[in-house]
Amino acid sequence: MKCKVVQRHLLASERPARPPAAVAEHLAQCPACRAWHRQIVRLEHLVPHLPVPASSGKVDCVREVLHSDAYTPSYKPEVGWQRRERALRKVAVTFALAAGLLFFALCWYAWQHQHPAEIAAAKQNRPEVTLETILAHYDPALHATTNPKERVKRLATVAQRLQGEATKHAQAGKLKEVTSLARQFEVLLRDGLLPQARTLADADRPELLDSLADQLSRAESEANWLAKEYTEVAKPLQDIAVAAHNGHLELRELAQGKV
Amino acid sequence: MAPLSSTPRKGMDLESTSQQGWVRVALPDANGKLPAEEHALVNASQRGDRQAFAHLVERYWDRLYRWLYHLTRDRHTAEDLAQETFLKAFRGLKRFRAGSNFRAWLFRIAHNSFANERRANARTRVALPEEIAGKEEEPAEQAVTREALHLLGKAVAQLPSDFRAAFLLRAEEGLSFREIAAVMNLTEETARWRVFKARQRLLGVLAPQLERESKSRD
Repeated sequence: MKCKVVQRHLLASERPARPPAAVAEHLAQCPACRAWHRQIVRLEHLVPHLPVPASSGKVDCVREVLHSDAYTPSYKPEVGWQRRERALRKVAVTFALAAGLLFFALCWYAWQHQHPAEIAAAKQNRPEVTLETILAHYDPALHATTNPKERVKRLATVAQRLQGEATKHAQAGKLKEVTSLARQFEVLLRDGLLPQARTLADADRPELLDSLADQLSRAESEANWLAKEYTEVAKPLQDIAVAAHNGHLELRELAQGKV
Repeated sequence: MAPLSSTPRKGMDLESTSQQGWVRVALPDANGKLPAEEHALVNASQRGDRQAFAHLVERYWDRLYRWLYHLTRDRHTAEDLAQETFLKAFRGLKRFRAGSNFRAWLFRIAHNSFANERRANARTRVALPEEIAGKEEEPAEQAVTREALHLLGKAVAQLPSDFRAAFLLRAEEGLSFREIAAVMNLTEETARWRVFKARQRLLGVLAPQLERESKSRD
């Protein structure tokens, strides 16, 4: 080992007085390093003997600690009932969390497994829309008509009126009204126009039903266009478009005698 | 002639005494372990036992004061800082983690107090240490040792305070580099580097005197 390396090692060591074996071996062979080592050890030994003026502050500090209220430590030992109360609080919080989780799980389960009858009942709670109510409002005299061809024509007129009103309300942004009209449009086609069209004589079908199919096709296009223009009422307009599309397809098939 | 090393050695005497201008230092055990009694005192203090904390003040006052004196080179400032350190420690005992090194924690508070004080008095020029009478020894060695101590005192005082603080924690308190790093909020390597540089500078100044002393003893 070189002298410089040994000296740097000793300068950086925690205990220069206790060198490791390799350093000690070098020190045993090198008088210069041995002398240098004695100096650094002596230096460390001298430091605790550096004179320092005696202090009288200890007595004051002890007195301050013992008697001054200004330095009361913040620690307050817990007494038995405080420990019990803390434990009870922890138990209560745990139970509350568990109960909350259980309640949430039950609600989730009940919602996921709702009985179909309950769903139907929930639906029934909504205001009922029937063919009768629609006709009572838009064409009360239709019941008196016995000619199937005439009935189909008058139902198509009601459908046109419903769609016209829906367009008007859509342009005004009235969601509630458009939703109601869309529902009536669906019911009218499903329960009124299409069943009635099926009762037509084969001879009457092509001419009448093709023109009605064209009418529904236009209704579908218009509803789709409006849905893009007036996004706040897009959903019920799309419902009208879907109902018109299905009706148009069925009327075409009826007109062609496929059904 | 009794050599200086016959004065209290590490682990031999935890009680400190003061004579005329001379403070004997209580050093930790050689293996650095704190006695169980100290843990008991710390635990009792944490439970609000003032008497127990007063014992800790008794135990550590001189060591802390010595270190602070070497840092500040002013007796009154060192005493004020020592007192401030103990009172801060007393108030903050709840934050002290039981089982960790109380001495290192105490010195860390002291170092922070010293740093604050130094910032507050940044423009105050630092005086050299007061002339203090050394311990009386047998005449022949006394003169040599006194001169060595005088030179050492001056050389230590001229070290940068960060180097001085680290070196004294190592040489006087026997703290490991890791503990010094914890006290001064440094990395272990920086603490080692500071002690290294301090030793190097001190040897540069004191080598001739130490050599002379060595020859006179031989």
